Amino acid sequence: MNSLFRFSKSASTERYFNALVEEHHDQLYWLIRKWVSVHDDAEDVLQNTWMKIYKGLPGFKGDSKISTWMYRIAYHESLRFLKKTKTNYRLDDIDSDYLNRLKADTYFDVNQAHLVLHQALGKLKEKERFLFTLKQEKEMTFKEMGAILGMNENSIKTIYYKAEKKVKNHLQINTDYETV
Amino acid sequence: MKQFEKKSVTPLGYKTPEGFFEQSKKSIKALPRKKNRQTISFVSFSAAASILLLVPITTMNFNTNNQLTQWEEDEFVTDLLMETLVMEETQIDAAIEASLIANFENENPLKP
Repeated sequence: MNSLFRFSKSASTERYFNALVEEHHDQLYWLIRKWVSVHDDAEDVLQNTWMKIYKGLPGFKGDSKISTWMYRIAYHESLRFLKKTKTNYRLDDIDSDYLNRLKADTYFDVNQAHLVLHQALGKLKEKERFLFTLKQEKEMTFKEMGAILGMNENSIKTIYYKAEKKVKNHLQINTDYETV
Repeated sequence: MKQFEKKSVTPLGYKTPEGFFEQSKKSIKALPRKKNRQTISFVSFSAAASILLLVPITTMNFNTNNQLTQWEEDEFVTDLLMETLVMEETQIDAAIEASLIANFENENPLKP
């Protein structure tokens, strides 16, 4: 990646941007998709994310890994989208917005196993879900996750383990899941 | 948990339209060029809009000037009429008489 960054210094922004798209597009999509649930929304957020990346690219000094910087943009774009589209306030321990959006998505394969998993994820608060997804998807270190969310490592650990416990509890209660 | 981890490697029941990634990458790579084109279009549009806005304003100013001249003329005539109204009858008679004499003298100059 560093070599790619050095290459970018001499190459045009557009060429470097294209290289980043080639390398990170799919990963970014899946992260955003897991955060905003619906394919069409994920596509919009992904496009905004890439636009911000392109605009910010000339100013990127390489203080952090380029992927960390990009995920940070994706995180903020997703968060902005979720705040903008929030319709229900949590009255119980399930994020009904998250599950409703998911069920309405034509690109979601509705089956019991998937629903149980998403109910578990729906129990998480937005920040917990972001962290849980990052860890599961990217196997990131807590330090990297902290850099993305702008939080210190210890706070990240606390939030992550709390999220993991919630998911485990939900899956243990729904024993049917184990047989799927 | 292990089973979840295994599942989370692949999308959690999420699907994407066929050929989505190729198409999406293509359109995202085109974004910078699209943005540049939009900037150029915006500049052209702004210039055109400015011209369109300036022409009516200039014409309007021209019309306003004309209207002002007409108004000034009207006001001058009105003032003249008002002045004749406030003049005394004797003054008007004297002015008419003087005017008639002057006209007569002009038309019939005294012959030596």
